[in-house]
Amino acid sequence: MTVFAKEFVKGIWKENPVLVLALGMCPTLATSSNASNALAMGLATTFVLVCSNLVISLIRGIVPDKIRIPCFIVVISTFVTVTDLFMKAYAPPAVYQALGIFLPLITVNCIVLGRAEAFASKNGLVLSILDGAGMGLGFTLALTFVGVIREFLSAGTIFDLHMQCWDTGFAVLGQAPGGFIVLGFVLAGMNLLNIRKARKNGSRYEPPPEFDCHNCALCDFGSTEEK
Amino acid sequence: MTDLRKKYGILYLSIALFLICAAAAAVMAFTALMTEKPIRERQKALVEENLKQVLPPFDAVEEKSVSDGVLFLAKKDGKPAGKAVRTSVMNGYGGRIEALIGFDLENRVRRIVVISHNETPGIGSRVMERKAVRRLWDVLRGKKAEEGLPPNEALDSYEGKDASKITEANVHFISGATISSHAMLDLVRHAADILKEGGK
Repeated sequence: MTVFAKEFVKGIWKENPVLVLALGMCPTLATSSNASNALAMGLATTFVLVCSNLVISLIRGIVPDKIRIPCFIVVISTFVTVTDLFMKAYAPPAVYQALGIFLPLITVNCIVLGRAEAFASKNGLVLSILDGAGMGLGFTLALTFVGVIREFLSAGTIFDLHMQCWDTGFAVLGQAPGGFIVLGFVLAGMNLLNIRKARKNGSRYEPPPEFDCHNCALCDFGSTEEK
Repeated sequence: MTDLRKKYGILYLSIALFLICAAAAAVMAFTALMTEKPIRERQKALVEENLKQVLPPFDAVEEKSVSDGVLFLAKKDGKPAGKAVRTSVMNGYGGRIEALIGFDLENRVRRIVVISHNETPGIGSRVMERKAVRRLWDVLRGKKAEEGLPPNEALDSYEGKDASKITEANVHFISGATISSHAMLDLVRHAADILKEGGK
């Protein structure tokens, strides 16, 4: 696999922003109550991710290190405002209304800032775009998957289409607590698959090393060194 | 580049941030200008669509601001055709409920469309939402979606009733959604009051 394909594909499974990195939980829980909203939110975030990665990768040479976070936030919020205005003008009104406050809040979605800081500010244009697209796609797929499960169990529909095999109406799954429950099962299922796959190869499953506490410099919570 | 950074220090930081913000502002201003018209047209179209849903056929509508809402007086061929009130109450289970309520000339409720609400999905929302149910087999069999406003038991129970004579006893309350049902009743009564006040 070439390096380009690798950067694109990693966001979908191996480093999926929601299911592996556990980033962007707030919009995940709030907008995945039905499949159409989840898909719209995913696509909006993907657009912002690709555009912000593109621009940040272009300006990475001139942005001073000390003020890089404010600069990134300005770039990201610009694209969020653009997306918000375009969706207000052209997206289905029901979808725009359902996403509500979570659309402007993409600005502080840690996936977008995380990719800007961890990837786009260190890599070239093409790689950054591919990284953004892959991460966005992974986010969209995870969100839609959770959305389909929640919508089906709570209303018996998928993408507003009644499936006619489930009429119980598990209403709690359509609300925030149900989001936590379904997401928990999906995360567990994802880990189970990864552990099984690793066991077949005769090794132990470990999450991508750069994402555990041990390797993060933001705080010393996971540090093994003595102070 | 590195020399510049060292030499000017904080000035360089400010200029860099200023340039980025200026570029961002330009992009946002451009988009706002571009989408201003479609957004306005769209909001207007939405209001018109809602009015068409609650009022009998009309060709002109007059808007009148009243104390707590908007009164629409519809006319057809110069004669009054119907009235509609857009107003809101705050006592829903999730707070504010806004609705457009159409009345005929004898002040009987013609149709109710809820514009925005924040009721619990699956419980209170059953009082508010008109949602067409599309079934999988129908789609597979190629049956077309039904046209027109989808029914809602609770909202439809108000239709044809004199606005001033609506009580808890003669409209449909949904069990499990008492608070939302009550709020709906308050909303209709409130609209009836506005209608009376606006008619003077």
